[in-house]
Amino acid sequence: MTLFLATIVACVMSAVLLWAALEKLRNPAAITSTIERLGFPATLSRPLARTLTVAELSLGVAVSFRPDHAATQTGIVLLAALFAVAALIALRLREPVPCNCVGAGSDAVLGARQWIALVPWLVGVAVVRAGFAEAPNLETAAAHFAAVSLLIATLHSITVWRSRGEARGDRESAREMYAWLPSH
Amino acid sequence: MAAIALIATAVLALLVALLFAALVEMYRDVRQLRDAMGILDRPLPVNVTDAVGMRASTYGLPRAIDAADSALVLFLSDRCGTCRQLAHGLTRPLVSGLWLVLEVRSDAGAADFIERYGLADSAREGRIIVDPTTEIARRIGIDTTPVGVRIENGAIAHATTVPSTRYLNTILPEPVELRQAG
Repeated sequence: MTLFLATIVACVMSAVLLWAALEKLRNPAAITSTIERLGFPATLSRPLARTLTVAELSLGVAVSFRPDHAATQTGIVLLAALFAVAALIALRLREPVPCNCVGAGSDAVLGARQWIALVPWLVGVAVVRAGFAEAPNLETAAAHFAAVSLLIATLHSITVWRSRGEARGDRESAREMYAWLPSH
Repeated sequence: MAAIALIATAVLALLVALLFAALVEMYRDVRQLRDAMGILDRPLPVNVTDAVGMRASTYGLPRAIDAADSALVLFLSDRCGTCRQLAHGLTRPLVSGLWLVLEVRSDAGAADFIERYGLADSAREGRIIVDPTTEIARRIGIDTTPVGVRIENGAIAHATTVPSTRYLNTILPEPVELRQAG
């Protein structure tokens, strides 16, 4: 039962970390801007953004394959703590700093949310630590990794499908407007 | 071997997810361009100041509209392409609260328009007014089509152009649903 729960938790963590990393790869400018807003010089913000993206990607993979390893667990805790510290800096700035934690586009700002999120991350790591005494076999881990990746791709495909419908509506609407414009 | 295949599947899925995300970015870019060019459902207000607050029947529209809490009178012409698109996109029978004013050159043209777009039932219900001389529109102060005139509490409230079917669907009067109390 503990192993089953730990597997579910590890998959969720992997999904969140991989999603966040992919969003940062898609739009690296957003997280770079957040780091600059926190007071880091422009020369440092870009390498820091890249490091953060690589760390999320690595931990997203590592939590599938080596959830039992201390480096994976410590890495996740450090990452969650890093966001909490960033939130603390943002709160001291007394101005809203866009989070861009799991990608650009949301209105979320750095703040209390990152401190609250620290709790489920710590609990998650504790569950994974208790559930995985040893590494899962390679095939099982690979299956979990594939399932998580396919889930992410499916969720993205839903967004693409919705955007396609919207774009089609825009195109038809524009065609109708073109028909109207000459008579106006 | 199975593990390698699964890992390859996962990596491929992540790449596909990244490509999907890039595609969404492109859709957003195109939408932004459409918006900047002004071809994104942009209705123009039509000045009907003199008619605002007046009963619809004052201008030759059916008296039934005077009793409507919320209604839309859509002015269409058989000479405008968008009007034909709008007529094609209308639900049949017409939704409650929607009236059509057809500006056609002849009775034969009106019959043809009604027949072509399957509006015969609505015409029989008196929801379609044929106005060959454009007298109704002229008296309200409308000199273009397609235009939607909003009626609130039986009186003319405002008017806008109706650039697309999608925009029309957003301004159609909402039917009032009654629910049993308790």
